[in-house]
Amino acid sequence: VVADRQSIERVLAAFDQGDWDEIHLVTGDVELHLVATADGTEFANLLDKSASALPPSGGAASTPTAAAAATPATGPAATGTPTDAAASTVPNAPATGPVTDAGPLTEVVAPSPGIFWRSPRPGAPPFAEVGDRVEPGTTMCIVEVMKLMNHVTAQVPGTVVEVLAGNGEQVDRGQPLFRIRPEGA
Amino acid sequence: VLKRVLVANRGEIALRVIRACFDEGVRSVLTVSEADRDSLPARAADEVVVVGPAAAARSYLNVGSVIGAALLTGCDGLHPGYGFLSERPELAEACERHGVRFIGPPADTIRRGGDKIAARELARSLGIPVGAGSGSVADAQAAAAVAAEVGYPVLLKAAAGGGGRGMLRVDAPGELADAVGRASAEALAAFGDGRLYVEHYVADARHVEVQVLADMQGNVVHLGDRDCSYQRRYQKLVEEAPATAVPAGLRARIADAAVTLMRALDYVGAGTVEFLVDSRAGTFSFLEVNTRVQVEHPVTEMVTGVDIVREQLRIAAGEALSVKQEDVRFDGHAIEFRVNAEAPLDGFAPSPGLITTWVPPTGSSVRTDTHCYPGYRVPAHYDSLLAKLICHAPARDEALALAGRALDAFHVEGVDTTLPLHRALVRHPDVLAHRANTRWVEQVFLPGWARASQEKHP
Repeated sequence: VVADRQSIERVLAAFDQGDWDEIHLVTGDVELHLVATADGTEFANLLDKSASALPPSGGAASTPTAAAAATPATGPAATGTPTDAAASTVPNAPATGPVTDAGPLTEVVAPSPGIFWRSPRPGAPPFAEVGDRVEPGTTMCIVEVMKLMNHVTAQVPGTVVEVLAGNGEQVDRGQPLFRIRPEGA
Repeated sequence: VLKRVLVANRGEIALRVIRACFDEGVRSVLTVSEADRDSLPARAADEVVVVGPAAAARSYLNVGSVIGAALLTGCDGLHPGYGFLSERPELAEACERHGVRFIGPPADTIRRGGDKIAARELARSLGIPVGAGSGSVADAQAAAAVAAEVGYPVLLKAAAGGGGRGMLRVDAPGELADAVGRASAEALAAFGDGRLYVEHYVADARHVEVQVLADMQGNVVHLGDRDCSYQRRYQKLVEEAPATAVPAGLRARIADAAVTLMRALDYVGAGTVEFLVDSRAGTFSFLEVNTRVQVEHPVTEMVTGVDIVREQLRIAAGEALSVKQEDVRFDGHAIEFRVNAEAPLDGFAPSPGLITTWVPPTGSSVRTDTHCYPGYRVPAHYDSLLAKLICHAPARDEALALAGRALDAFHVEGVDTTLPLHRALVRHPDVLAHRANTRWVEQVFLPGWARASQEKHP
């Protein structure tokens, strides 16, 4: 492991000078997580399994603390895992359209494997929330696959009753992403 | 001499840079996202730093994490590869500020070369032909005035652009206003800069580019040209060197123009100048500068014997170029095929997933640059390039014949690939006769191939 005390201090100093939101590094026994929060304070999290290279506390604007490796809740990390039960109800989605009939509710499914994005860009409001009324053609989400951004649209008019995948989560082709109560159902 | 280089990329180019480090006796430290922890380059590198989650915006595109990784592991050099942060002046600046050698040109050169409008102006001032067109256009009205002057069809291009994003072809005045809006929005989303310029669209053109190397001592040499006319949606599919379809006199002028432009940019490192060649008129015009190593650099390596990535490492260490212009010799013909995880008969739908069979071809003049192996899971997070197959032979027809056999011997299962497309393309009479232009793949080849495939497998 080459990450010694001096090199950790260089990263801290660079973070103080830069205008980056986050640095998160893991190498060998060292995990270093620096987060600039919205109110201008910084959060530092260092895990050194060898416990020999802790930097001094209170250095510059950063406050490195020896702590558990848990990621601070400030990051917009994806939460939740895909519901396998829901996915297994539609093992083979029709290739022609992203809608599968599931009783009175309709599902919007992923047209391809990819990354599920609920909003057009980070920080923007989601395309569709629970309770929203949608029309055929309403964009529900983006499924990103290999740098292609596929807009997934509703096929029937109705109301969103459930969002089935977490933002930024990897989804499979045919995996249900939303449940919609069709108009009149 | 550099001691320890951070390889700030992934995929085949990461492996390519790691091998060049090995050859130069330099230790390599690779940045990986959480999705790439078990990749082939991660196994090949001397050390690995996880720089964030799978999403590239928070890992490979996070300047703070990348520069932090270099500082944490004590790297004295940083190779950005292509794509990701390779042409972001912010990374070159951060390297400079923190005492890490950026393996590429200075930030100011990246800025001047990367701004397409500024680069066009520079080329024009040096007497290098630029296509009929404009500087930055403020709005649809200004674009319409330029388009009327240079004549339709026109191409709208992003000032900060690349990779075809923010680029739209407009065939008639009625479509222009809408296209300006869309192209500008796309450019703004992709590059944070919605400025556009307008160029006359040359219908029968070849894409010819010149590979340049420049050191800190002021030596600038070119390693000849490449013909990258086989494209789909402005994405290159097949590249070859040298550009033998273009008359020799014209090629010499193009190479001179490339060297002149790179000198004026105070260029350092490996870079490429791209041109459009109007085959019928026998003229050429400057397109853009790429301030990084390119995907297709191997075809130049095969015909010149110069290892471009090793030269990059030596240049960054302050060494003089190992070749003078008069030493550069061209030997035979090389062709590269991009094997992408895409289904070419299904609208080129991306095809991530588990590779169950992976058998690349072998042979003394057959080179495969790849990070794939049997059992590798191709992530959905990144681009679709799986491998580059490069074939080298004394003459072009022999290289094509060799490529046909090598493509037949390349077996991949589990994901869809562009291999079937290449197998058909390499045997097409227009390719054998060297007749293609930049529209040929989309207008001639793909429709015919799709028809033939349907007849064979209805």
